[in-house]
Amino acid sequence: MALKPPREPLVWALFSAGGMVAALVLPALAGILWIAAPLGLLGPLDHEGLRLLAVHPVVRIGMGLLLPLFFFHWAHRFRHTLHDGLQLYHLSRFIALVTYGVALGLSLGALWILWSLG
Amino acid sequence: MELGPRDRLSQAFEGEREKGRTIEGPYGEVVHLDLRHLGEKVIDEKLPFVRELCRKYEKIDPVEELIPVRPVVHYMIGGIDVDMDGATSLAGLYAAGETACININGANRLGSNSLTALLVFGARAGRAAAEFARGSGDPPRSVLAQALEEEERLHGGVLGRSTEGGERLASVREDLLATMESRAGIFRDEAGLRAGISEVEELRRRFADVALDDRSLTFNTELAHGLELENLLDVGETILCSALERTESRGSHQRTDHSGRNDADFLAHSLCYREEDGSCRVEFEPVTITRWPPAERHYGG
Amino acid sequence: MENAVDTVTLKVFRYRPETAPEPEYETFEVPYQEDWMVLDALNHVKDEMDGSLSYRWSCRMGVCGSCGMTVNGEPVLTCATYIEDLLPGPIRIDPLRGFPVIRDLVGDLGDFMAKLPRVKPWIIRKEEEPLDAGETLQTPEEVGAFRQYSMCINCMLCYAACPIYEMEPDFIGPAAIALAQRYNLDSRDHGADERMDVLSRKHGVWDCTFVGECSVVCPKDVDPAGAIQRYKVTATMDWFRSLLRPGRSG
Repeated sequence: MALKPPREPLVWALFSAGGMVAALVLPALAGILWIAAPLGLLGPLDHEGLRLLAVHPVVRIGMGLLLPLFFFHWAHRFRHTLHDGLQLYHLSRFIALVTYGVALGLSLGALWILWSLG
Repeated sequence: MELGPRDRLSQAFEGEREKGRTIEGPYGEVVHLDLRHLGEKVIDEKLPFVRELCRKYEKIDPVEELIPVRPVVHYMIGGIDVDMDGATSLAGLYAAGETACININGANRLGSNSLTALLVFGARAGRAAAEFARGSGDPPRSVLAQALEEEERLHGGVLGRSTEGGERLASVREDLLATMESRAGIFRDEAGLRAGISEVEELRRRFADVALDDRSLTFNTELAHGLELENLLDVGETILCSALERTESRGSHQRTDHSGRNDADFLAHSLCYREEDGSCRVEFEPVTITRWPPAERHYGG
Repeated sequence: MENAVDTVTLKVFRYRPETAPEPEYETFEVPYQEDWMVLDALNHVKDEMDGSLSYRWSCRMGVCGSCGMTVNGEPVLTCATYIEDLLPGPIRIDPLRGFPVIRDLVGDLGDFMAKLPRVKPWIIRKEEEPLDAGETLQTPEEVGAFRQYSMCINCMLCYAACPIYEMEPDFIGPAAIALAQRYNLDSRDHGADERMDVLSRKHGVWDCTFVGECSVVCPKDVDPAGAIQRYKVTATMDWFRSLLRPGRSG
């Protein structure tokens, strides 16, 4: 059921890291975007304001690191939900390829977007 | 006194009981053990298992409440006669642990020694048994014949008997426990021991009429209990006979009619044999003393 | 305390392969006593009502691990489960899940017995000290590092509770991994490398998805789930290290 031994530690490490940073970062992000911003505590945040925020190198590098981790965390969890939860053992390899593949695709997409913001 | 050896504690308990100073409990008389003065920190550090047992099984927290205690039978000091390698008098049969008796415990097995004895002598016995097995061939025909005989005996006996009006296993077992506890308990005397021997004889007759509910040959635990009870009757008899012949008091064997230790006659192991006519013969074999000669037993304070 | 209960009903799983290929439930009405555990009730049934009921038990005090059974759907030690907490009943008693049934409440634990030696649950030394070097000393902290995992009594409640084990019987399982950790984390042991193969390969720790039920049911607070997650970290770090040093096996 596990991927060939060398790969399982890698995806688990990504999953683990993704979960941990999500737990740390998401509350902060939520606080900024969904509470502080609507309450106007950050000043006017229109499209130009947000673009300036996103373009900042620190933000781009930070998001470039965080987003792939979030995607792989999702992928690993979703893979196990399908495999163990729905008990789709016969599709084991296929599910792994698809979930991690999608995560990889989303990560590359996100990186491309962040790059092209500059 | 609380930290004293178990034989002394049990005897003290009996003394209190005779003076009417024990408390009636649902399973017999008890005294109360008070650990409250130790405080929670010490109890959790040094006696965590005691606290867990009290709370889980008696719903008592020793930090705040008294623990009802009474003596119980805990360990068989005697056992199958073996040498230092666990070999019995039957070639190829080895024994180790509580069931065996070398004897390193003497008349009183001290706390924690059972585990260490098992590890040390269990390893020796295991190695010796392996050596023996390596050197021996297939088991002789006589062993197989004996096994078939035993099978027939069981099928004709407990497994085959009708249960109509028969006695239940548990009833014989309970009565054996009662006999042993009262006749060969903390304090013994000649009359009680003789009475115990005839009670065990009577129990043997009753056991011969016991039939099992379970006739199956798949994980039949009732049969296992039945065979064990049969053996317990024998073991009970060896205890009573040996105690009867040992007319002195030593360690956990206390005779009210023969108090005091008699090294001249009884610094020896009692060996119990079954005669042809089924009766019990007790012989005494002097203890091997090498480094430490026995002395008067004193407890600090 | 008010208690008008005189008796309680037990619904017990029976399987007698010699006479009936299909299992069935048998009902017993046993007397109720305030301090009785489920095991006391079973012993009453066996002693007084039906001696053919087969089940394992031994110490009656939660240290031998023999009396694990499923009571009202939960894997428990029957010697440590009060009848009082299960009133008014009926109380359903089944063998532990995940193990083939030999007879009545007795499961075949052969699978675990085969898996346990694979994790080498003993102290492995590179080189043994001579006897006159004396005992190997450990500080209280060093003992503390593995003590929890040494509390395992092999009762198999964790295997019965583990949904992965139910679906994937080749999973080495919570207790085996916890016991491996007991030795991996013992300062006297040098065998972590030898155990790594079994633990990080097929059906080792990576089958576990941290459901956590094993730790919930463990009667000795071993926390096998914690042991497994810790090992995942160990195995992952070791894997990363092997990447940086090609040629070393991961």
